Amino acid sequence: MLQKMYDWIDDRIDITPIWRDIADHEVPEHVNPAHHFSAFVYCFGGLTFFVVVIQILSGMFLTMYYVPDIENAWKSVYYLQTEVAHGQIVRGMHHWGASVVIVMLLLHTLRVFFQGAYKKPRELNWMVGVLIFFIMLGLGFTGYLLPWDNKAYFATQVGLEIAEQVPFIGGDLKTLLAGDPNIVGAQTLTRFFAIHVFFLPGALFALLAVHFILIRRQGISGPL
Amino acid sequence: MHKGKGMKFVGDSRISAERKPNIPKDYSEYPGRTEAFWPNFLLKEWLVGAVFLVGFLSLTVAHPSPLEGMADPTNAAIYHCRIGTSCFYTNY
Repeated sequence: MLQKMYDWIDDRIDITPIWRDIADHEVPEHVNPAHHFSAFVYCFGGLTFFVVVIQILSGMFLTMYYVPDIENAWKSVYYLQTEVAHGQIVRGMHHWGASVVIVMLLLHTLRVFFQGAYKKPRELNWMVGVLIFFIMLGLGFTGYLLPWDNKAYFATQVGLEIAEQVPFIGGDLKTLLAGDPNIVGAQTLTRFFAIHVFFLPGALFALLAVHFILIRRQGISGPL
Repeated sequence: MHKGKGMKFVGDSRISAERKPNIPKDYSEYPGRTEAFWPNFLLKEWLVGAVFLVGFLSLTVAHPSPLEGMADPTNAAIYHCRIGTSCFYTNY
């Protein structure tokens, strides 16, 4: 039955090569911690992705309770934190994951940097990685406001003033993010929510896809 | 690599005068003990992931994420700092 379904699909769109490409490749000795313990540094990239998956899943469940308006945002988070079953754990995973993902991302970057894995022919993938880093910082900044507590509010005000310091476009950038040149309020919260939940994750998925496709095309860099 | 007698250096340093491109060789030039990615290596990778997840969940259970009072633009008692003002350095 399952085989027949698979064959039916494979006959039409030839999906076998797609997963064979992932399934058939060999992992070289120098990246395998079973052979060289120091190869654990190669885990950092995968663990970064693992935390990203945790962030996506916990974030999806947070939006089941979160209400992005200034009257109810804080109350919905408070309710989630105190009343909802396991709400504290799910929010805790999203809260701590946001910090852990940056740590893992930096460790992964250090591994790639000090092994020279960014050199030809992998320069493009380094650039994609840097873009992913900026997306992550954006996700951290926009996500910080969403609980709408006092710390979030004033941290965002400081963050927006930093954005305002950007030469030439700073003022417009701040208005674009906050919805008003001066007020951090209802507009700011809905915009940050949209950016945090739709714009940046969309960009993140695209960049991650490019990051992984390039790894499969180019293979892992050689031993030192 | 040229070693010992006849080596040329840059100035009085220990840097070899012989220049060569600093690009690592591809791993296909090092035939060794490779391992199938699917499923052998991936399953081992998930062992590491499971250990990581236990540590991560311990962190979330031990330290519930903080939630301060609801945002109040008029209550800047301890968050009254702005860039370029002296209070930026005397917060809290």
